[in-house]
Amino acid sequence: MQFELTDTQKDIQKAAREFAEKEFDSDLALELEKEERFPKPIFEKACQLGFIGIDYPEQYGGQSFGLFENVLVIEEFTRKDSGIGISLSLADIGSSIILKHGDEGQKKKFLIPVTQGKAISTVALIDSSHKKNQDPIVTKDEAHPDGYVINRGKAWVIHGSLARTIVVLGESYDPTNPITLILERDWGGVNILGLKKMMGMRISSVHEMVFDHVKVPKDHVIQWDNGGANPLTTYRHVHRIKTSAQALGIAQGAFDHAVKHAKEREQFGRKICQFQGIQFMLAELYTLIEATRSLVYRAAYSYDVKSSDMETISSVARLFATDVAVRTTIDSIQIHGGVGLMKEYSIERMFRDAKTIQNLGETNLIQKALIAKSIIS
Amino acid sequence: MSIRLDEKQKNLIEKVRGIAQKIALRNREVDETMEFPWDIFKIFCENNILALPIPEEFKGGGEANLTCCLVLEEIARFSPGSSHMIAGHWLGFTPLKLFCNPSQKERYFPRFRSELAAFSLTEPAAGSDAGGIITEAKWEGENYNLNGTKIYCTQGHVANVITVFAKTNPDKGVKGLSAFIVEKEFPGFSVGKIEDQIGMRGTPAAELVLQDCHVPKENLLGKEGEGFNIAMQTLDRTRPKDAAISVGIAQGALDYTLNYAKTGFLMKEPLLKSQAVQFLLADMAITIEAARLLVYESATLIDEDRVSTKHSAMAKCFATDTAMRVTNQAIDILGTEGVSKEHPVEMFMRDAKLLQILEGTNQIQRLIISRSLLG
Repeated sequence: MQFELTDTQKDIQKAAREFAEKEFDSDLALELEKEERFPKPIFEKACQLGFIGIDYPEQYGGQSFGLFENVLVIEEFTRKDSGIGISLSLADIGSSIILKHGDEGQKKKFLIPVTQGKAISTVALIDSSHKKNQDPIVTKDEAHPDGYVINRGKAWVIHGSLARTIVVLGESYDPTNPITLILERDWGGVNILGLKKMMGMRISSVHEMVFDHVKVPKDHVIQWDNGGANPLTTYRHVHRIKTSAQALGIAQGAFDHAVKHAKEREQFGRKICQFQGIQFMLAELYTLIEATRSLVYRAAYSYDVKSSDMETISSVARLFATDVAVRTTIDSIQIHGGVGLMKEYSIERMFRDAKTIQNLGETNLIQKALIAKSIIS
Repeated sequence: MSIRLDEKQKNLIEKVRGIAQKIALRNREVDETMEFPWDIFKIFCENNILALPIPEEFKGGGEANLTCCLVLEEIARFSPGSSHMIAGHWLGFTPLKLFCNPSQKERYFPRFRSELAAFSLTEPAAGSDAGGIITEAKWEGENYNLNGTKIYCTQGHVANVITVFAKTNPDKGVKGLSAFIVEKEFPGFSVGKIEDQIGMRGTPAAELVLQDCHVPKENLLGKEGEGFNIAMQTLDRTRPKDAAISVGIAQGALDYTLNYAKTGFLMKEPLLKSQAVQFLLADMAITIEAARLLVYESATLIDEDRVSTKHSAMAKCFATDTAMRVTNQAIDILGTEGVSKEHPVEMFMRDAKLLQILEGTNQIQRLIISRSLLG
C-alpha cells in the first residue's frame, strides 16, 4: 500500500493549482454568480490544457488518466474557487457514461468535442416517482425499428441551457431490453423550462428540461452490456466521487482562508491564531479535511481499479466530504467574524456552494440509507 | 422556573403572528433585492411594535424584556429579517433607555415610536475587542468633534438616531470610550458602504463615516469614559433578543419541515416514515425547547433586575448555535428542495449564520461564560 501521489500525479495537481490561481478571479466569480453565467472562456482554456477529459483515452481527445487524476484537478479547482470549480467539474458529467458504456462511434462523436471546449455533456435523470399514469416514458419508434421515442419526461438538468449532449437516465425503460439514450440539445422536442434558483452553485445553472416526443436514432442508443454495471450506477458512482472531490476542495479552500485570516487578524493585542479557541477549531478542521482527502482518494482509486466496494465507498466519501465541507465553511465564516458574512469575501459563497452540492441529487440521508443497507445485507 | 404566558401576552403574540405571516413573502423578496422594506417598517409603526419597550409615559408599550423576546421569536418564525429590523431598533434604543437623562428622554423617546434607532460600536480594527476603537471624540469647547469610520452598524443607513461609541481619551483603552447620541442630520455624518451580506439582507450592516461630525454636549450619553460600561450593559440586555430571533428561526424551520415532510419522499417511502427523519425532528425539537427556556430565563432575569451577563451570553450562544444546527438539519430533510429558493429554509439558515457573529461572536460569548465560571 502506498500513500503518495506519483510524480505525474503531483505534476497534474501542480498544473491544476497554477491554472486555478491564474484564471479563477474572485471578483469575476462574484460577477458570474450574480449573472448566473458559466465561464466559457475559462472552460475552453481548461480544455486546451487537458484538464477537462483528463480521464478519457487519448484517441477520444483525453490524457488517458483515471478518475483519480480527475479528482485531483477538481480538488484544486474548487479549492481556489468553489463556484467556478464546480461549474467546470460538472461540464462533462454525461461523459463518464459514454466513456464506460458507449460504443466506439459514440465515444468519438460525443467525447472529442467536450475536450475541445466545443460541447458540454450532461445527464437528465427522468423522475418517474410522481408519475400518475403508467405510460412508458420511452417506446420503440414505429417508423424506425432500431430507434426509440421519448414520449414525455421532465428532469432537472445541470448546465441544461448550455449542454449539447444529454444522456437520459430513467428507471422506467423496458427491463428486458435495458438501454440508455443520448440526445442532442438542438433536436426537436428537447425544451428548456425554468431555471432552478438555489442557495448556491449559481455559476452552474440547473434548468428544468422537458422532452416531448423526441425521436432518438439507433446510433444514439447505448445498449447495456449483460452483467456489467448499468449506466445509472456508473453515473451515481462517478457523481458521488466528483461531488466529494468538489467538497474536499471547498473544505480545503475555506480552511486556507481561515488560517490566513487567523494569522493576520489582531484583536486584544495579538493575532487571533494565538487564541486556543481558534487553534482548536483549526486543529479539528485540519483533522477532518485530512480524513476526507484519504476517503475521497480511496473512492476514486476504487473506481479506477473497479473495486467491488465501489458502491459503498462512493457513498461514504460523498457523505463525509460534503458534511465536512459544510462544517468547514461554517467554521471558517465564524473565524472570519463579520467579514466572513460579506459577499465580497468568498467564504459565504463557499458555504452556500457546499450546502448546495451536499443536497443536490442523492442527499446524505439517501447515502446513509444505502450504506446501512450494504452493512446489514 | 416555568413560563406561563398571561392573556395579554397571548393576545399580543397572536396579533404579531398574523402580521408576521402576512409579511413573510415580502420578507423573502427583500432578501433578494436588499431594499430596506419601509412598508414592513410602517406596519410595525402602525401596530406599535417598534414602541413596545418604550416607557408608557412616552406613549410606548412599556413592555418587559420577556414580552419583547416573545414578539421577536414569533415574527422570526415567519420573517427573520423583519424581526432583525425590530431588534436592531431596540438595540439602538437600549443604551438610551438605560442612560438618558430626563431631558434626553424628552427629546428622543417619543421619536423612537416611528423613527429607527441604531447602535454603532464596531470598527475595522475593533470587532471583538472594543478597546481597538480609534474613532475619536475631541472636546472643542462647545461640541464634541467626532472623526472616524464605524462599520457593521445594523440598518445604520436608514436609522435617524444612532448611539456611536468613540474615544474621548485615546490613551485609556476601553476606559477612554464614551457614547454619543448622533443624529443622521448632524453635519459631518454620512453613510458609507452598505454591506452585501449573507443573511438579514433587507436590514444590512452599514458603514458610518464621521468627518468632523459635531455633536453637542447635550448628546453625550452618560458620562465621559462610561462608554464601555454603556455598551456592555446594553449587550447584556439585547443578547437574549438575538437569541429569541434564533429560537423563532429554528421553530420556523421545524414547522416548515414538518409541513413539507407530510408530502415528501425518501427513497420512495414517505419522509415521515423514515426513522432517521423522525429522530432528526426530535433532536430539532429538543434543542429548540432548551434554547427557548434559556432565552425566557435570561430575559426574565433582566425584568427582575437581576440581569446576568452569563445567562445572556449563554442564551445568545446556545440559541444562535441551535438556529444554525436546526436550519442545517431542516435543509438536509428537505434535500434538494431545501437548498431551493422556492422554500424559505435556506434563507433561514443564512439569517441564522449572521446571528452567530453579531453582538459578540459565539467565541466571545464563551469567553464571557468561562470568565464568569472561573471568577
